[in-house]
Amino acid sequence: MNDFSMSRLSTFEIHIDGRYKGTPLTPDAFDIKDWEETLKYARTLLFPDSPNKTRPHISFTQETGSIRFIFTTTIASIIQAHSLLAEVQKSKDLGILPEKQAESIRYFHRLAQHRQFEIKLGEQNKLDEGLLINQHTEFTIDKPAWVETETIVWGKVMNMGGKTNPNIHLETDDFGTIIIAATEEELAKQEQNRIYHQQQLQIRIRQNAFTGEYDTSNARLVAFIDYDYTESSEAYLERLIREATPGWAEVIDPENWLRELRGYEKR
Amino acid sequence: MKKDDPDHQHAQAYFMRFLEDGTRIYSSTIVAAEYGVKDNINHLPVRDVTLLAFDINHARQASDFAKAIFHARKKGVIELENRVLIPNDTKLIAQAQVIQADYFVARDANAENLLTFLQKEGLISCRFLDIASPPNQFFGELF
Repeated sequence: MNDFSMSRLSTFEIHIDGRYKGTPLTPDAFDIKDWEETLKYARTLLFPDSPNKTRPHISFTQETGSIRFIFTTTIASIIQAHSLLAEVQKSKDLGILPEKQAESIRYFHRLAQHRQFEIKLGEQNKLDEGLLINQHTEFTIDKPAWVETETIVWGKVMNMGGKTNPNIHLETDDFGTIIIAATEEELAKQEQNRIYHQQQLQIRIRQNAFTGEYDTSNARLVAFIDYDYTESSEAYLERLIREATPGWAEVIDPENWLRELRGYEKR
Repeated sequence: MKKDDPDHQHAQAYFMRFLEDGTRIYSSTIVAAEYGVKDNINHLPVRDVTLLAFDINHARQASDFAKAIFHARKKGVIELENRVLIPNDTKLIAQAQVIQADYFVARDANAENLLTFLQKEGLISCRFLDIASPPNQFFGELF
């Protein structure tokens, strides 16, 4: 985790108001499961993409008056979460949020609807400018529009195989674990042991057209990419330069060649 | 890739030094397409660089940049002798921004102009590294 004491911090509040068994809401009305879920979804709201081991520290206190969750963490992540929530307040469109944050908001929405609570989320000193959810709140639920894209990912193969849905579980630094579908034939013909090895894979994956997020639960294997690492980087580069030299022999001024190729006037 | 180019040594020195330091080097499928006009794409050192395919995030970013550049050109703030609306350099800079690259490494006066303009507008944090500049000086300042 990052050094908490060195970072600039701010506070984020989730304020839940309402009535419980005819009396104003107090923390007693919250079951342990409610605490657990609220904390979990608050964490996702603040750091949707960071696994627990890499995200900054979040501390938490509970203050009196209704139910007030106060989270302290880096100012940048709070500003970011707050402005997204303010935007949702204006547009009521959950489609502008990355999927995990949208999922968090849906949780608070369910909580507000089922128990007639009023929930405010935002930067603590600007809570009224954040997002307000009550039983009358309606969000537009645009289904995400997906685009297919092909990309190359690096990661550690954690699992490979399966009976009904053969796949590869690849643990990556950039996107967490990606589940990559493959056929039994594709996996059966692998001669080397890939389990627990670093591997580069070419995959097809769905990308949310609005937020650009990958759908990491739904990728498809295109190919395993294996490079020969017995050749040093220097020898590798030298060899490629040698092989490329004839192709470039007639280009006298590469910079000018590139200018023309990109549609700039010839100099 | 041209041994007889005056900046070849520099380019190679930057590349090797970045690799040794564990700096991630990216290239783009757009660059690969340009390269392929003259030589086989297989000669690009793809083993040691991450090849970045132009995706929807890059598209969105490139549109934003192109919009800013287009307005600036209309007002005469920048001069570009290019009639292409979104030239490849704009797309490459957009990719660099999306992956939060520290440096855009090239020898390309047009890309440098665009990048400097986008920096002034506060739209990008990436800096231009001209391979014509001596690597010793660059790494001296950095470390």
